[in-house]
Amino acid sequence: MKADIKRFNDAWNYACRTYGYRGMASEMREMRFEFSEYIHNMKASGYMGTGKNGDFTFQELVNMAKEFLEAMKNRKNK
Amino acid sequence: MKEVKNSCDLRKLSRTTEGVVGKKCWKIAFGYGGELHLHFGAKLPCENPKLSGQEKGEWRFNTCGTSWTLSSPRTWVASSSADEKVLLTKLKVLEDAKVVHFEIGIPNNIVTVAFDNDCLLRVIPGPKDDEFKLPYWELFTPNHMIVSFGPGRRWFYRRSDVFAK
Repeated sequence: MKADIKRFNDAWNYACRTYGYRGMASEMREMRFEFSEYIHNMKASGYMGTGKNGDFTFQELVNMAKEFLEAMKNRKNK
Repeated sequence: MKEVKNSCDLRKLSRTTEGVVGKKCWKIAFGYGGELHLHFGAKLPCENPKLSGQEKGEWRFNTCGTSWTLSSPRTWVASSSADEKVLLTKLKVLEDAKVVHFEIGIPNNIVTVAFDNDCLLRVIPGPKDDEFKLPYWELFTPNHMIVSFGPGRRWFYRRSDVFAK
């Protein structure tokens, strides 16, 4: 469990740094919390990753984190 | 980052969490990797458009993947080792239950959340938890603040919503 969460956090932090949120990842806990429930619900509804046992790979998590952050950024820019 | 070294430090940490006492649990959810999320207090809209229409608690407790148990004086209710679908059913016992006590145990670092229906949630860190350098638990509090505890007795209380320009 902790290993999965570590991978999830690394993907989230990587996405934050790469897509314009440098240095803010640790403060973005609120959005990370929402992203965690969002990804869990996706899995629970049958959406599968390409990793072991249908889990999401690091890159898949990064891509989904990027989309999640973009959605937030677009909302803030409106 | 601070560290709980004595009873004075523990009191400071406890002051950041005491506001959850008296709040009702109204949503039980899971996050990625088996994080247990309990939502308390006022219902706030989720901020990200991808969660449009969903709500979150003004107070939110996250076990961060640390082992936990839920018990009552009469029976064992559940533990983190069970299947999530089973847990969601068993954890319904916490719906509408009010927090009556939130206690951080030192030196064992166990946090105990007591509810008004006599249920006790215990988050129990073990030595293996420290390998990942992740918190043992975190508590989101009003006004976009977060208390995070662990690994070890390290903790912080800071803003949770700062957004990059």
